[in-house]
Amino acid sequence: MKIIVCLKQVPDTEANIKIDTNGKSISEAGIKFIINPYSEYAIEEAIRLKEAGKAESITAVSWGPERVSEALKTALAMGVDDVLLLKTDSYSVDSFATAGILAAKLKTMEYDLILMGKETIDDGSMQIGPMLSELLNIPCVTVVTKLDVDGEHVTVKREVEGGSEIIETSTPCIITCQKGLNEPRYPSIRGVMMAKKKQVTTEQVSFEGENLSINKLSYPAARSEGKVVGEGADAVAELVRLLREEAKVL
Amino acid sequence: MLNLFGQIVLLLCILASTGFFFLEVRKRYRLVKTGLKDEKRWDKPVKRLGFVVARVATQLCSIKDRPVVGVMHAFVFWGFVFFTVATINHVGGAFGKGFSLWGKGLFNDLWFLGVDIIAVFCIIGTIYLAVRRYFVKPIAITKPMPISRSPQSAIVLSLIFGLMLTYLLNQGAEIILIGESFAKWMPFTRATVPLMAGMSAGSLHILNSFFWWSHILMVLAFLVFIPHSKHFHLLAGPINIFLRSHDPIGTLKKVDFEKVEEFGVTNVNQFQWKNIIDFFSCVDCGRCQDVCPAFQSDKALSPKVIMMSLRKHILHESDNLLSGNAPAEPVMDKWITADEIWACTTCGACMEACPVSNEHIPTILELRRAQMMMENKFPQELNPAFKGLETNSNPWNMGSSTRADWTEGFEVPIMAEKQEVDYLWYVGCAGSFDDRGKEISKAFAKILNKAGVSYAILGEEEGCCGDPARRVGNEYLFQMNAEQNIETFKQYKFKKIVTCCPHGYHILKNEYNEFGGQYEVVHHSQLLAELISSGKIELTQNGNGIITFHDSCYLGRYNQIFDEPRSILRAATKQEIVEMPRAKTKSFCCGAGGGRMFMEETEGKRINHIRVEEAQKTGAATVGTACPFCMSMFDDGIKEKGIEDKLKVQDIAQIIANAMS
Repeated sequence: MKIIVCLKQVPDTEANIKIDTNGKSISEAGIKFIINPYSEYAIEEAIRLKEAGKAESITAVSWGPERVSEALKTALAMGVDDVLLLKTDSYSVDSFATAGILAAKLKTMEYDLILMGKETIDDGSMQIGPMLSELLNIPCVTVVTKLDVDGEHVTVKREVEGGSEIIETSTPCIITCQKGLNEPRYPSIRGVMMAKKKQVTTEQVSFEGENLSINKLSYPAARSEGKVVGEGADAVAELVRLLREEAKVL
Repeated sequence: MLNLFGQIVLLLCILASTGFFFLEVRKRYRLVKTGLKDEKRWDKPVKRLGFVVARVATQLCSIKDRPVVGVMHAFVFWGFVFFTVATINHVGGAFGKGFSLWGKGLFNDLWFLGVDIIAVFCIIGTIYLAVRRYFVKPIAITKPMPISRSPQSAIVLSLIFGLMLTYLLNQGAEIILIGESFAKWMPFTRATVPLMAGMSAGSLHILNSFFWWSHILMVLAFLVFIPHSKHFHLLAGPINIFLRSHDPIGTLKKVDFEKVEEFGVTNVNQFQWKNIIDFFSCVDCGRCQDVCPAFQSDKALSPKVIMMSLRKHILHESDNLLSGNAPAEPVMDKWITADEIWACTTCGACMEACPVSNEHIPTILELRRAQMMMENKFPQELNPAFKGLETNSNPWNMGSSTRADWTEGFEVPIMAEKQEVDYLWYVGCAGSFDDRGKEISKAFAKILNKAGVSYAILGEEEGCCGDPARRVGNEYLFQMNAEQNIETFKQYKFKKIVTCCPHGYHILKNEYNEFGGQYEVVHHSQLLAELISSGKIELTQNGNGIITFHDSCYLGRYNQIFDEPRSILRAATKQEIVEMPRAKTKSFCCGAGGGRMFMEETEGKRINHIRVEEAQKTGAATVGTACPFCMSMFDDGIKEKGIEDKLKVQDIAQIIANAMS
């Protein structure tokens, strides 16, 4: 079985995000980039399938500027076999255009299973997986917390509001990964050293048919400070009143 | 004197015994030679020799941590030294009547007096040690089972006892046979005479021969036994003390990622040759585990077991190693378990206590390195710490841009603006991100400002010193951190670096130089002491009550800073410090060192609880600390035990800041 993992490089969760002077993108100065945490679940799951003898090869595919090579090297260090960077000059806010460049390449590749994050923590559209499955004409199960592969037979557990459902499908298919699926490994230093020596295969591509663009970015409203109502039992009545009348949560 | 037949038999016995002895010693020597190179062991030979004499001849090595046992051991040691020479006389007597190395005269008489006295003291020593081992049974030598249940000690104690007894009886018989002239000054030998009084000359001759032969045969048996047993420490111990590292405890060797592809120790043939002498030197005395915070809190680790297990392992693999083959099995899992190596807090108490100067911590950390970097096996709690160190250069993974947020509302100069200062204050991760650590930083900033010290911090440019990564074996990440910091330091002019954290202090001072970073580093306790003695800060208030001081391992045992924190606490409180029973070089770790700060402590008791209890027993109202990790561990311990009203913990900087008007 051949696995393709689609991953995205995103700003670190702790990064101090600043809007660029153009007002339409974020400034990358001083920002650390990491592999999208949900993509990490996909990488880990692929490696576990390979370790269990169920997969023969894993190729990680990503897109974006040159710096994305670092994320792909981390994937190599974790244990994927090959990496491919679809180099674009920028990112597209149009998920369909993004799914388009992935689909165009994936159509030329062999695969039985495509694993990816359920969403990215930067744009968070949650659309790439389902869109890619349409473009490749294969099934897709999203928000997966458990994956069992037995030959062509695939059984997954996915999260739904207030519970979970078990879905059966068959390869080839796309699975988008949710927290809880596994605990991603820290890449071994031996892996890091080996990854350093490997070349990241790069292909220049461009987005086509973009129908969405960012007009303006703005910061969320600053959160107001917490309020100390009082101390002890006397404060309870006032707290309840405030929760009911001001916060309107009761 | 023996007849020709006796002489031949004796010579054959000596030949066989020394032959077996040298064969085994040679085997062990060849095993040591299979170790990897290690250059820093022969420098300053005179100083090294001096240290061996100061430790071994005086037996301070054994006495310093266990006075009574140590003195008894000294009796046996000196017995051994005297009898090694006496054996030459003994054998010489077989070939020439009345042979003595010293001929006849006063010196010869004095020599026999010495041997006579030493023999008795040696008997006292062996009896004491046997009673202790087999009746008192201290934990140090009986636990953990079953590794300490070896008959080796019984064999050795019986042999020594037998040697002394047969010597005295043999000499006693000689007195009767030769006459009083033989025993000018041999008071104890003379005491055996009445035991043989009234026997016929014939029986006396037989008895004399019997004692004579028993004595020499025991000597020769002992010689064969020594290199096969832990009593090889007779040879390996002094050599090991000579070869001891002159670096601070636990200082690690650089891994050159450009050159090597195997990191740390996976197989026993990856140790350095000095490590192997360590394994052969361990005598199972248990001084290390008596002071080991992991062992004392019922965790899997005992430093002596690490040494003894590796000795067993390397002997088990000796055929492979000596024929140049790879060991049949790796060190980890069968010979040493993960629980053992990850329990170590790298506090250095074991190395401080070890009478034969074994270096347990580098050995444990080399095993961690291989587990971490080659096998990717390590406590999973370290995952987020590694990610944090990698992306945000701090183990809590807080945004690196928020590193200087603690300075809000304070006048704290930034290096980028100052460019040149006297003191570059390396704040460190705890001082920048941990709530309790930030309080230390604020107090120290307040003091520096008031004293008018020329200083600045790096702010966002600062990165983790790399200690948490290095101590858990992630050398790669450590080097990333270190190189980044060294690059940053290069941009600015400063005379000294000051740190509030002993971990940063130690690593910047002692471990960055291998990467091109040579700095004069001072700990804030040193700078504070200087500011107080030069009158730059005035201490007027005292609200701390009785105070005790907890020595941080990396400040105390690692870097010998004991007096400065105490002197400033005395100045701040205007009274003496109440010491805990375990203080200074014997201080008991808080439990956070060696990356343990970022791991769960699920096995056994909590180390910080043990230390908090010890501090509480002093009756002090405040524990002074000089390390943000120690402070955290104390703070947690005090809260978990619910004794906040009885005991509080404060960094020395906070105590000083409070005492300033």
